[in-house]
Amino acid sequence: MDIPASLAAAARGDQAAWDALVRQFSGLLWSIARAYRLSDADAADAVQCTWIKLVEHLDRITEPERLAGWLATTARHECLQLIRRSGRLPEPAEIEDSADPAPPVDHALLVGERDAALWRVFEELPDRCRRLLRVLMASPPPAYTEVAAALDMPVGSIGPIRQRCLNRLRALVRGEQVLEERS
Amino acid sequence: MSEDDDFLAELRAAANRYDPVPAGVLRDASAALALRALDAELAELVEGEAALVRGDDGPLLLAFESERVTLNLEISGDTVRGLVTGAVGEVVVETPRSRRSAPVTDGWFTVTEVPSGLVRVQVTAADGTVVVTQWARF
Repeated sequence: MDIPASLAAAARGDQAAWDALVRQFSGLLWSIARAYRLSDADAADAVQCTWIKLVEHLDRITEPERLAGWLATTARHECLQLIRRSGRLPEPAEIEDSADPAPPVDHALLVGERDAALWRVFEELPDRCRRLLRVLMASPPPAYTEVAAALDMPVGSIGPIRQRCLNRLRALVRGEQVLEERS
Repeated sequence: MSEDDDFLAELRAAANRYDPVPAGVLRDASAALALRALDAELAELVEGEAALVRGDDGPLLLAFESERVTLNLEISGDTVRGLVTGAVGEVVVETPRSRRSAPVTDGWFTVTEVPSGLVRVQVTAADGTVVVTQWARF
């Protein structure tokens, strides 16, 4: 889509152009809120506040071609503000090894169940990995510059960390499959 | 597509299935355009972003300024109290879902039962110009 054109049309009050922007970027904003582990209500709040801030700035977006980065940065600020307000402590950097058994896995990882198992295992990732991958999972897939803005990390570090985190996740999936076979 | 890209695509499918953007979030986003304060002068937050963070149980204090008016807000619980200079008539305290007007007495106004989240205040300057503050979170 032609983002600068949609932005200009939305600034003139064109609801269809605005809705096109909403469809294009809501997935990214929702993923960012979830990457920061916001609850349903807080994530909805952070996303809505981001859109309202864009409405407030419609005439003042100086680089329309970088709208996605602007939205990602704004969403990050909204998320951090909500986290500060709730007094929630930051997540620990690494999850502890737990003696608790993994949640029960359905007997066969049939095609339809593979997503569910993957999603469950994903939640066990260390926070840094979970956060990066959750933003990368946005639909449509975000550019690295947007991911960098969302998480305040250098663009150049995303590729290597992404690779490490996907490998960790593969290892977790394999571990779950081993448990599965033993049970 | 590399193996990593394939794996990420699989994860994206799982996220779309188990944590999709809720329909209500999309509806609110669509409706946000109507909250645009066209033709209004913007009163900007004077103090830094730190002013948006409430201290321990104390009221949230916010100062806004435009060319024509100044607005000081004190938000405590669900009550918004304000001191306005340069404005005439009523104020409107607005959230994304509600609008409440209040009379101004000697520059002061009070609006109660304001739902938490975002809030902004609209006033009319002495020359008739509508002035609206930036949105603030409380």
